[in-house]
Amino acid sequence: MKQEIPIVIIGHQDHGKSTLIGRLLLDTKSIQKSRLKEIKETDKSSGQKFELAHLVDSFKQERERKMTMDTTRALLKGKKQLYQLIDVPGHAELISQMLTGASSAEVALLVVSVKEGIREQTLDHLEIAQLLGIEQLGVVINQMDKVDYKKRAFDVLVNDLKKILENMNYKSKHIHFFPVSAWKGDNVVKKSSRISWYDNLTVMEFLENKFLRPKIHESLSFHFLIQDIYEHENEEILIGRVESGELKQGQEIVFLPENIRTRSLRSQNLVPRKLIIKNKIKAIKTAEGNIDKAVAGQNVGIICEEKSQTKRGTIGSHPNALPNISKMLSGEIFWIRAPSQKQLVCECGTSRVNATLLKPDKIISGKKSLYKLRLEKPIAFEPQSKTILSKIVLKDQGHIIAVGNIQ
Amino acid sequence: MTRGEIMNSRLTELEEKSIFILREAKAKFKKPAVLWSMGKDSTVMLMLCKKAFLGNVPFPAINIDSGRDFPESYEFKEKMVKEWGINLLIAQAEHKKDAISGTAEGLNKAEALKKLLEKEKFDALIVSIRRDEHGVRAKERYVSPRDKNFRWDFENQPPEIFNYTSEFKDASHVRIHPLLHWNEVDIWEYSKANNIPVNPLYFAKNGKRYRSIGYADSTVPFKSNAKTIDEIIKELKTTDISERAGRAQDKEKEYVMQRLRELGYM
Repeated sequence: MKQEIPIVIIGHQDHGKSTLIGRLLLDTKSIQKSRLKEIKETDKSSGQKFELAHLVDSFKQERERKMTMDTTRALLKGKKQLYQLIDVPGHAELISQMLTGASSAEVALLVVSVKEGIREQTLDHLEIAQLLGIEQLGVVINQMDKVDYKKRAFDVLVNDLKKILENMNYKSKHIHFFPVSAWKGDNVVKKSSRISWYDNLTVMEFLENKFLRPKIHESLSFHFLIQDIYEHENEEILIGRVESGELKQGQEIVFLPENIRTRSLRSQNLVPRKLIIKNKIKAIKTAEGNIDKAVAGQNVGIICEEKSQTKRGTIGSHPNALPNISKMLSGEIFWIRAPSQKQLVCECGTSRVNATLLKPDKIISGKKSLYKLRLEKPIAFEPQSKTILSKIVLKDQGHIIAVGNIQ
Repeated sequence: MTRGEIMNSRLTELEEKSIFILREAKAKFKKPAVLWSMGKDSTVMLMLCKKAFLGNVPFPAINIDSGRDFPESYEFKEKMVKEWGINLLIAQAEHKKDAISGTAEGLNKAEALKKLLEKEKFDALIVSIRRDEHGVRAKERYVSPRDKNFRWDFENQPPEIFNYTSEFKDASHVRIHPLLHWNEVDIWEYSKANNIPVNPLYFAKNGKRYRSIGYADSTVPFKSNAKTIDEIIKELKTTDISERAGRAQDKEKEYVMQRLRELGYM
């Protein structure tokens, strides 16, 4: 069995995200009978009616308030593949919990109630998904039972959504729309007999046949994220993860930003070669011994020919494929809350530097904006990579208050 | 066969993710410790620590003990300390029933842990919980602060975005959960692929075995004929009984697990 595909279920509150997850788990028999029985017994003894959402809403308060308060995940067992269903809250004030869940997803299912239509969190969640780099989307038009399964209600909403998705630059031609009642079980795992006008894939069939796992970052340029330095038998071991590309014993490596002389930074793309301090990989270490090469996603230790005297926060790269280096960052950012000051901390990969917020002037909590930051010192990053080196968070007094991308 | 040939790609991915989290914890905290219950999960955790830190476990392991574990568990503990050279600290727990769980395994364990963490000033505790064990554990973060009173403020959990986490200046300590994304079967497949020793109580004797091991007076075995890890894996793929059904203290019923965890239980 392969690692699960993480899927986040997004959308406005009460449009049926948790219910959809419950339905998927139940109809694929992904939940153990004894656990289902326990949940039902708890509901009974606390005087509550059993709901499908209770399969993921495990806190007492969630069931009492009839809302998801924090993100959770459940294993969905498909015939071909395992999935990790990520449930997130749909309330505006719980957006930080939503981001926590959504940031580890590779694909998203948007849930929209056909009765309520497009609401504020429908749009906000779509914007967040895009900012986080989620490209694959399926749209579940839910609560079809509340409109007597009428095709017209479905068509009207789908048309409105298509326009919105196009404006947001989602490739709407590839997006599938499902008429569903998660509560009744129509078109989730089983084909609905009540929706005869729809003769296409159920949500589960779509997941099994149309969702492809995004490629990992092996084909990109080599970058090594340094987490820590260990000393072992008088040797300096650089501890970290291959973020993209491939690391080979004997290859050249440059540590950034410090191995480029600062006066060359002004023209960052035109670094004269002689100003780069090169080093060479002597050994790639793991607990089981030395290896010849490491690929994207692998956590290893590096010993260089010369002591690097580098530290956490730097990036190891190949001299012919350097990342960007700059003190100025800009891109799109989502604000969990407005900062209390202009002086913030910016983290990118493992680097952590003081930052001054230059733009925007006005920040609205729970909304996206463009940003411009000036860092106290330069960092290395890789805007096009889709790895952690293209993503930042901002911290205000140690607390994450915003997440953004670098453009 | 090399480990790479035995380990399938799923186990490799799980392992890499856990190693990254462990290394982050070591880089960010001054004095971490790892909780070791002698069970299958926390023993896998010790192995992951060895892998993350190039062969040794660079911090102490804490075992909570009230003197009422199974004899087999004590034998296993002794063997592991000797063979793996574990730097073991014991958190002495009282053995009396608490009002929430009705067993001695709930609040006493949390209390014993609190005392030891305060005394030794550990600022991070690595705990081997998994999402698939319980709905309330499934709500956890990889990096999860406990407040000055040791409590889990589950209504205000911090954001955890990509690999980024907040800093917790007001926390008594921070829980690190590197196994959150593993499943019960993964633990067994990983134990097999890496020859990790396990408590013999996990294997069937007279038609019964333990799936989750706690104190002798609050753990019951379940019907099974699985005598090897392969047989356990086969059994788990078809069973309809949940893993911790044999553990009296963390029934879903009456939200016992949630109430215990709010007060510092694992």
